[in-house]
Amino acid sequence: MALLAITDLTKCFTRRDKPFDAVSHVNLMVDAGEFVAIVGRSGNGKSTLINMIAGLVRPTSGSVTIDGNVVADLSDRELSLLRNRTIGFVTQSQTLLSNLTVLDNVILPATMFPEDKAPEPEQLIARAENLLKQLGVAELMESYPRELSGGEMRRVSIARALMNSPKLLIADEPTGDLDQESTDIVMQLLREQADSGTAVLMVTHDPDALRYADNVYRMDAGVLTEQTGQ
Amino acid sequence: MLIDMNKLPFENLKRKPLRTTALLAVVVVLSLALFGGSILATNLNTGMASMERRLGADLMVVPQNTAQKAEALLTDGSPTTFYLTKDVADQISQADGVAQATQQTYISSLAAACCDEKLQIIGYDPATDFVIEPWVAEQFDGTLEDGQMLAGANVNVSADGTIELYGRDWPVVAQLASTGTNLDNSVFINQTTVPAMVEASAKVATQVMPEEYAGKAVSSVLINVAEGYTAETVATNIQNLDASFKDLGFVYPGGITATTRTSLNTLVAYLTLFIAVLWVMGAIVLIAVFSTSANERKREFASLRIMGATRGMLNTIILKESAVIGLTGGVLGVAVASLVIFPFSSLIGRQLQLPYLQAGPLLICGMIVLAVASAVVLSVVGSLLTMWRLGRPEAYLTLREGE
Repeated sequence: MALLAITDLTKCFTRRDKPFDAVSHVNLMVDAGEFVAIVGRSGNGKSTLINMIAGLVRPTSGSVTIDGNVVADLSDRELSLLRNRTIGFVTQSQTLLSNLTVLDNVILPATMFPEDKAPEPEQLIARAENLLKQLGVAELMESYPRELSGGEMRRVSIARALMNSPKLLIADEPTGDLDQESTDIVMQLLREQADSGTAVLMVTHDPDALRYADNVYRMDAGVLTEQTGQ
Repeated sequence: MLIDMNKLPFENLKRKPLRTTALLAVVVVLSLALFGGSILATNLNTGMASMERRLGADLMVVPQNTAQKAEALLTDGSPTTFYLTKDVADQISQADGVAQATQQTYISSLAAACCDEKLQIIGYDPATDFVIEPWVAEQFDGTLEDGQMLAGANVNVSADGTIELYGRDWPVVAQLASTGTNLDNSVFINQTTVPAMVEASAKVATQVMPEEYAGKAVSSVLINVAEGYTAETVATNIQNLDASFKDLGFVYPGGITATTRTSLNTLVAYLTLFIAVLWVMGAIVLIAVFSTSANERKREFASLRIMGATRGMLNTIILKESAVIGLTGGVLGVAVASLVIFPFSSLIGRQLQLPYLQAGPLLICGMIVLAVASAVVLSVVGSLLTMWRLGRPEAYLTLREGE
């Protein structure tokens, strides 16, 4: 069974009293360890699609199933737990918490739902430090987000998304603010995540990033089609 | 210590010092006004109730042109000396409609070692008294012997239990409970001690009254009227006793109480209105500030939602932040108000020129809890609108505006 199964997913909005499908009858399967990229122009429904996958936007019709859970059937707590434990989400814009240091930003998702067998604090700190090191921003651990550049913030966001070792990593333009060197670091890390069993779903404009993906899809006017020839 | 959702509200408050200080300042002012105003109103009411209990006579007959001084003596005026003679007082006591009568003599001392200001000396007759004895009985159940004194609450009694007055140490047998009136700055002696007091005054200063009057000076006759009579009727009966009685002064303690009560009620009403307006304005400011900051924080809440925070967790963050501000502001407001009100209690009483008596510790504790709780509730209410907005379905669509 696919880790992510999207069936006939549609989101209809109304603009000037005229309904239109931002996402139209999308079907997609992503298995564990598969790296899928979605390309397409801005305003063609890519962000709406991934927000529906994460349960942040409710679909008009169709269904999303993640790791056997039908997203629409989950309560707020179940859905939040799914987002926290199963999904890692790298947003297009900067969403680090400005009142926390880089290290605390990365650690917070791991302490959000306390467990009986929770890792020791030292283990969590070590994991966060390791992720930041892999992304080349370990020296910024004690800094606050306002002290970081756009690219540094993006890399910290990726570290945060990976903190709980998600089964599904959703990345919206993960290389948007990055230079070539940083892009390579980030994409290599995402590829490694996929190789180690994480399903990666990436939305991107960056043609250089596509070569890391196993499959590439194009989103056009809300319709998703598999792109051949990659 | 690792960051978690419990520590996050505190980090948010710590890292936004300007916003936190501004919110705190609003809550401090509101809590200060509520607690300060409540204490003030309660102390005035306690003072008033005490005064009503102490003025246990229907009519007070005093010499010509001294009615105002006598009224002041009962409320908060300066110590005073006035008198008529005992034979006149005895005649007054016999008037038609008098059920009970007792005589008192008032002497204003010079500034004494015991006190910041002049002392009011009140001579009363324990045998006939019905005004002072019931009050005195709470602290002293013996008989006030010649030369002994009872001291009002504000009078400083020496460690050896005496008061030095006119170069002589007078033994104090009891100190009376506070009344919030001028009686707290008075000492009480029996009528037969009055000549000794006059004699003592003659040795060290200007004699308080001519020596020949010392044994027969009476400042007021306090009367309880018989059933079926009014104080005014009895006053007319007294005036009709003798042509020279036409000019006597008549004070109606019930009237003084009513006038003072009216002044007090007006003051308390204004105070209540002021506090109510302040709280409404404060609530609006808090709602506005919380609401504005919630708009600014859409990105932050969206980020938390993406990380897996439930709506309940977001509400808890807002609730904790507002409760911490309410609690801290409430406690600070009460502390500041206490620093002003308690050390300067007697000064406030004098400035207000109304009976003012400090409420008991239990009542004060209750008001502290009420003021702090109100500050917390107001802060939380101020943030409810924000929580409601976050709790709406598809909140993320709104939250995403922050991106």
